[in-house]
Amino acid sequence: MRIAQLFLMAVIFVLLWFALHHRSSTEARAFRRIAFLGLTVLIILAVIFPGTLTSIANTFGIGRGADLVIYLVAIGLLFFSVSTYLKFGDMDRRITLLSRHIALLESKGDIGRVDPDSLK
Amino acid sequence: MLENNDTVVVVPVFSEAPVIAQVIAELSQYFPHIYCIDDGSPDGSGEIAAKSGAHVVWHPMNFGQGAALQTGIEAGLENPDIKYFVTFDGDGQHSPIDAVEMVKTLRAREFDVVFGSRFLDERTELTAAKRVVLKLAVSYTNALTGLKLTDAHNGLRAFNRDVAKWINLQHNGMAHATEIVNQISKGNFRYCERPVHIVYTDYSKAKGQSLWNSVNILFDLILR
Repeated sequence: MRIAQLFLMAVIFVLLWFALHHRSSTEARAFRRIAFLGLTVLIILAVIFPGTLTSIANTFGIGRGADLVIYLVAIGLLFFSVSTYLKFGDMDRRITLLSRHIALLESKGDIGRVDPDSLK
Repeated sequence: MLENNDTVVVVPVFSEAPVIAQVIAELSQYFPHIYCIDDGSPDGSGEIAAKSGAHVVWHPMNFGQGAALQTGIEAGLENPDIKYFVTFDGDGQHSPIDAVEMVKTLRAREFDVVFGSRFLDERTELTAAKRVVLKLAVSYTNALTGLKLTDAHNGLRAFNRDVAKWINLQHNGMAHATEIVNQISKGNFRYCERPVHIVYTDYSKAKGQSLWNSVNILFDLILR
């Protein structure tokens, strides 16, 4: 295994760790946007200069430029699904807290009951 | 009858219309305060529970049993006379007598928490697959929390007001069973287990958790 391949693996784990621990920070949001832009530019360049991309890929121990793009897209997809999963979890927790609070107010008779049909 | 006037039985209910009236009728022979948390049931379970004499707290949507238990505990804490809390499944698999015994244990003030366990005597009949999964689950929970339980995924538990104030369930779904044990472990409460009889009726078997859900629970516990 080449050092470049180890480097790519390390990048994957750092990204995942980042996704798990800094999911709502400003840095994380900025980082996501940079990654998105970078990947877009890379794909456009890959289409225009297929040869150059392949030589970059070769320095990483990867045979073709298209393969490098596939790996990066795979990392991006993994990153996206983990962060989306966590984001939905966070949202779920917040909705639950709010609704439980409302339920307890109703239980004390402070407010009327939410009509469940109105939420459908 | 009035002996359990200081106890709230928290019954999370999601779509238990065929059995909830009977569950409440049996419970109310021993417990005057039954708090049903209707977790957004589409089948009118909450209305039936209210008619049967339970105090019903309504979740406007379905959030899962963990959320329902947390709501029920907080509703119970609103009443300053309540000293003891029992959690009791809404599908009729638990026995009110077991709950009475567990509260009795709490009254001796030797323990803060009493967990029900279906593995301490021979009354509960289980399929081999269910036994294996529950045993794996409790091993995982024990390894995570450092407690020594024989049945961590039993919905029948009793605890005092201090524990009720301490518990704060964040996992909405079924992962709360491990979460409860974990929080009790962190609070250094005195705990014990009491044998309980789980009755697997055709109804509760059909309604009960698929063993596949243990995969989801594990995932929820690890990744959050």
